[in-house]
Amino acid sequence: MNKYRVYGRAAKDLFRIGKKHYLYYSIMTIARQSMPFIGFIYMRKIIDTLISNRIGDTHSLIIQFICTSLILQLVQGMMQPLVDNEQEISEKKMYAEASRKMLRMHFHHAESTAVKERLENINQMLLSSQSSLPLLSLRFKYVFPSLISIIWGIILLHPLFIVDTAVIPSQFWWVHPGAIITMFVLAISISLFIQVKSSKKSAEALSRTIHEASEWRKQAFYEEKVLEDIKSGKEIRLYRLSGRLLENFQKQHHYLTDIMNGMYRVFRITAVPTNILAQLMSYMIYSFLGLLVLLGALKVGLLVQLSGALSQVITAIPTCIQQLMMMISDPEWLNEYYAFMDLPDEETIGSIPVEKRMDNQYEIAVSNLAFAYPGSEELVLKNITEQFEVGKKYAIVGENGSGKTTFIKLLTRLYEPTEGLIKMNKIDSSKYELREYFNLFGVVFQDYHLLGFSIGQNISVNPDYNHSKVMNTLDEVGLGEFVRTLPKQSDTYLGTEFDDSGMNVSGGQEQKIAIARSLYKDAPIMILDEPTAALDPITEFDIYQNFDNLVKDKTAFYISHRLSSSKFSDEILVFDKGEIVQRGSHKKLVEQDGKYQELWNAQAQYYQ
Amino acid sequence: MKEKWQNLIKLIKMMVSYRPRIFLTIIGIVLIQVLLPVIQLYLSVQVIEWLINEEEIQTYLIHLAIFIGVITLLKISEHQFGVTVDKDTELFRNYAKTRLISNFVSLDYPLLIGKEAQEKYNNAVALTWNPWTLFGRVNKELVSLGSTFLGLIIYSSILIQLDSIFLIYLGIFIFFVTLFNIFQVKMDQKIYDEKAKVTKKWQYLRKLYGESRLAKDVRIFQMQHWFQRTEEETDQTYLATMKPKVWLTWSESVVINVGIIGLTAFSYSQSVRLVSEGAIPISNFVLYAGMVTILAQSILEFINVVGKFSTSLNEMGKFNTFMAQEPVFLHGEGEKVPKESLNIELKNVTYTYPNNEAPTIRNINLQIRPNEKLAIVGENGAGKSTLTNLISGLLQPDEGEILINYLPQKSFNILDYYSLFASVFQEKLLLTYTIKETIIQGLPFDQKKYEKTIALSGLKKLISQLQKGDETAIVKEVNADAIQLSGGQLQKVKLAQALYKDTPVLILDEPTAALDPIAEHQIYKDYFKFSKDKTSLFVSHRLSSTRFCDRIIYLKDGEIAEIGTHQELIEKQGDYYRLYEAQSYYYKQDKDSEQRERVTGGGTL
Repeated sequence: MNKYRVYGRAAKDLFRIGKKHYLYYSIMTIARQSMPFIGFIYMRKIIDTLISNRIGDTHSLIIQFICTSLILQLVQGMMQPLVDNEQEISEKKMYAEASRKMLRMHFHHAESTAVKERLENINQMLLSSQSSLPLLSLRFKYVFPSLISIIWGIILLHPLFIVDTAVIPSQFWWVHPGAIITMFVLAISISLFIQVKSSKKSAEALSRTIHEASEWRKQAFYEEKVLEDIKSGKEIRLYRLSGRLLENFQKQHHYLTDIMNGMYRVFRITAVPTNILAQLMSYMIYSFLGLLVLLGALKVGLLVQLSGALSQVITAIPTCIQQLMMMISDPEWLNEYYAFMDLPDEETIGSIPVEKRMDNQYEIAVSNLAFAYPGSEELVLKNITEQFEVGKKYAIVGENGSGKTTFIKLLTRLYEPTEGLIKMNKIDSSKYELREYFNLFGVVFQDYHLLGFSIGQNISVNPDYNHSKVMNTLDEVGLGEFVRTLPKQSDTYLGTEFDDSGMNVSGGQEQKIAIARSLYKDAPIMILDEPTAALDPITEFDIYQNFDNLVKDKTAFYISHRLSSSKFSDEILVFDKGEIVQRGSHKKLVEQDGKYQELWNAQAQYYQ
Repeated sequence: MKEKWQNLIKLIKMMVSYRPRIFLTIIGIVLIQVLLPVIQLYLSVQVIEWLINEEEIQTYLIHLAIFIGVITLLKISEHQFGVTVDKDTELFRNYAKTRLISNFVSLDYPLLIGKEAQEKYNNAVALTWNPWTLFGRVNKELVSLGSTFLGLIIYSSILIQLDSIFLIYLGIFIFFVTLFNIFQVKMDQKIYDEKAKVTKKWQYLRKLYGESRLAKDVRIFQMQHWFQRTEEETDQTYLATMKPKVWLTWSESVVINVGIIGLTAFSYSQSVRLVSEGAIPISNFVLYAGMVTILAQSILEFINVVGKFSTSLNEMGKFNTFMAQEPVFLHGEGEKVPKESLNIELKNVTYTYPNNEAPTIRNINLQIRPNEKLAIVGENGAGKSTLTNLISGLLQPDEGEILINYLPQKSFNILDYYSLFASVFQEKLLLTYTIKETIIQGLPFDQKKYEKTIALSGLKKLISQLQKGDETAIVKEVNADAIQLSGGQLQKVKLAQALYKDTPVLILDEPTAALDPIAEHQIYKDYFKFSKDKTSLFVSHRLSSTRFCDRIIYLKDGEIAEIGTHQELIEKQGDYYRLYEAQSYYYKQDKDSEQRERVTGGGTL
């Protein structure tokens, strides 16, 4: 993407995220940066009155100065805490922008490892890349004050142009203000040139070292994450990994030290000529202006104002340019960020509303379904043509990798078929409006995840919920009594990740809450993927026994490795290498020579 | 107070062990930072002086050159020192992080368990996160402390020359600054907890957004609105929490600014008076005028830094708390470790998790014979994993003792003790990055042993299918070209890891939870092959597997409720029998399955 366009976009986004913040900040900065210049103006006036012995005027000037300063200080002081608050909020938003995109992007991107890696990368580089949004915002806070100073400086410099040049004797013709300005501009240009060159060099060095360090950094990041889990400590100790890990940490530290030394060496070297040049300019200012005074062309008081303004401008211009240079030095992060943010959102290609039926008569059918993951040639599902009856319970079995969960993802339209169709009430499912279609399904996935919010919120998937409906659902899964014993009942937070007052529940209880979530939704089609994997035999048995009650007249699909569950289903679908190879009741399939018999015997033999 | 001193000394010791020269740098930059503003101010004073006295042009230019030359040297030194300070700051923070995490992996495991222990660790880690936490800012704080304190003394001694009453005004000003600073510190403490809660909520939300496991649920359950509402509510909570601080800051700002203006007014009017009396030259007016601003800034910064540094010293205490923990196990020389045929005995062993009220393991008495295959079953939370952790030495019993070949567990060096056990845990964590590394972990490489393990664990086929064989990377977060092992494949690798260690005791914790029936069956078939000459403990829900063990113990509420062979326990018709019946119900090939009594479940979660 065009370099300037991408930065323009960044500017717009920053402004969108932090409108209030930047407004307060601008007011505060203008007040703060104006202070020294107001000081110079009054200093000049006061000195002139002192020299010409107009003490009465001096006093009134002092009073004016005091009042103006007080007002500016107070404005700055009022704004500061507001700026700080808004900064916290907008920074937090900035950090979350990329992650938030995951919620709305098209599902097959959200699930792809490549996209997840891109998100990891973007988030990891947030604090260290030159073009990341938080860093751009930070640098802006150096650029803006410098700009204000430059503007003020130029205003205060204008007396230079009304100097009475006629007074200058001829041999000092070169002490002309025009000459001063020219020399000044020249010196600044040289300084800028050096700065730009060295900024480029240090930015290049920086991004080179970051790329070299990226592998180390990824490893360090990953290890930090894993080590957050105390349980990792068990393996480390039993398998004598501490030595290796300690070595790794030391190496990482040495590596970082080398990188830092190299990086800062560049800073050290480039600073010397810049400093010398800055002081040279200072010398020029004082000597030229001093000469003008000595020659009678300038009043002493003005020297203070002009030298003050010039020194401010001398530091402000390089700072401004340098920060701008750093900002645009490495647009890689921004480019990656926008490439990521431009990933397509959930498409709403379908637009037909799903008819609302009270009788749960939603019939699914699949014809000639085939599916390969986007970007892959290999078909993970093929030749699937099935008709499903409303209200029946279907068990889905098969070995790991045979396509069971993928089939579910297609039924629920998380993925679109590569070939073939899925039909809902005889209409192609992709024609329906996506959100309404999602509402037809209550799913408990194998890798379900409960959130740190309250039990009631988890079940209803809403900040507000119907208490009695939630309690009913909890009763249905056998958690009602337990929840009633809790002080906050269904308002109790799960775990302490979000709120300290939360409580931890066992794996089995979590599973029941996940099932309750699907039940609460009261969707006509229920899908349970390995719902009892973490449960002990008694609880598992309870769930199986009640399964009929739980799903009542809904259509249900039930994936499980525990083939015992297939016994109470109406029909069993046996998956093998992406195809449905057998279909029928348990009685029928267990007699047939085939995959189902193989799977059944493998498990049942231990229970005879 | 005494604690603060101790923390200060510990902090200095730590900085010295990082790099002693860091203090030279600090002193250097402090001196320059104090002197430079004064000298620059003097420059403008002198220039005005020279101009008012109408010096010779040549002398003016030469004097000017000398003055500016000195300033140039000082500026260059300041920059160089500044760069070193920046570098040291970043590296010191990393140094602290490294020390911390090294301690984490070496501490005795019982010291890491429980809410308190976790908090200790989290508090210490939080001190190294970023440049604004303790170890990221302490270096610059010391610099600031030094330069503002020194500056205070030097600048006020200049201004006192105007009139000694200035000292009193200064005193009043410092009093108010300190007062407000104390209020701010108290306010910060008060809202700290609330603020931390809000930050926690924001961080959690952010984590949720990027949580790939949620992707399906988010869409099917339309969770976006929920998140949006929660975020907005949290934002409002933040602003409400910060309100009192905003008001305090406003009042502070008013008082302090009025104070500064007062001092400025004093300095200006005094110097004007002295100038009009002819007691001081006009140029000195510039000196005093400029000095007030510098002095006021130094005072503000000084008080601020003192407050911050005091907080820093407190935080240092949190670091020490974590680092200075005493070991609970024996790390010195212990009994010689038996080579084969272990007899394991538990005598009245009781264990309670920290912060739990009831013991998880209660009065367990158990004798495990050499080469015995023992199954441990029970409901969720009954204490199965805890029991194996106690036996393998990761946890220490609160009461009772564990004996290996009649010698108490305590009498062994803990690392020697660990060499007796190899566990396959439920959590499949990877801190090694290739298949080969994972199998070997931290043990020395033995070619014969390695090949034997590959054959035994059934990994030969998998490795031969991979291009890079056993050097294939398996962690995607670290190597872009890594492969994602399936649940079953990872299980095999972890099993190989345990087998390679070749210990007298093998512990398997739910080894078939994620496997399909065929893979599960394979594991059971091989189980006897690889646990042939070993004592083995087998924890599982799947009672199909436990039938083949020599004995089964059924844990209930932390006690051994039933013990015996499968047949014995079935005949007993107790808890084990009920569990087994529940699981096998649908597998039994009874013709009249409708006539089977419905087994009443009796388990509680």
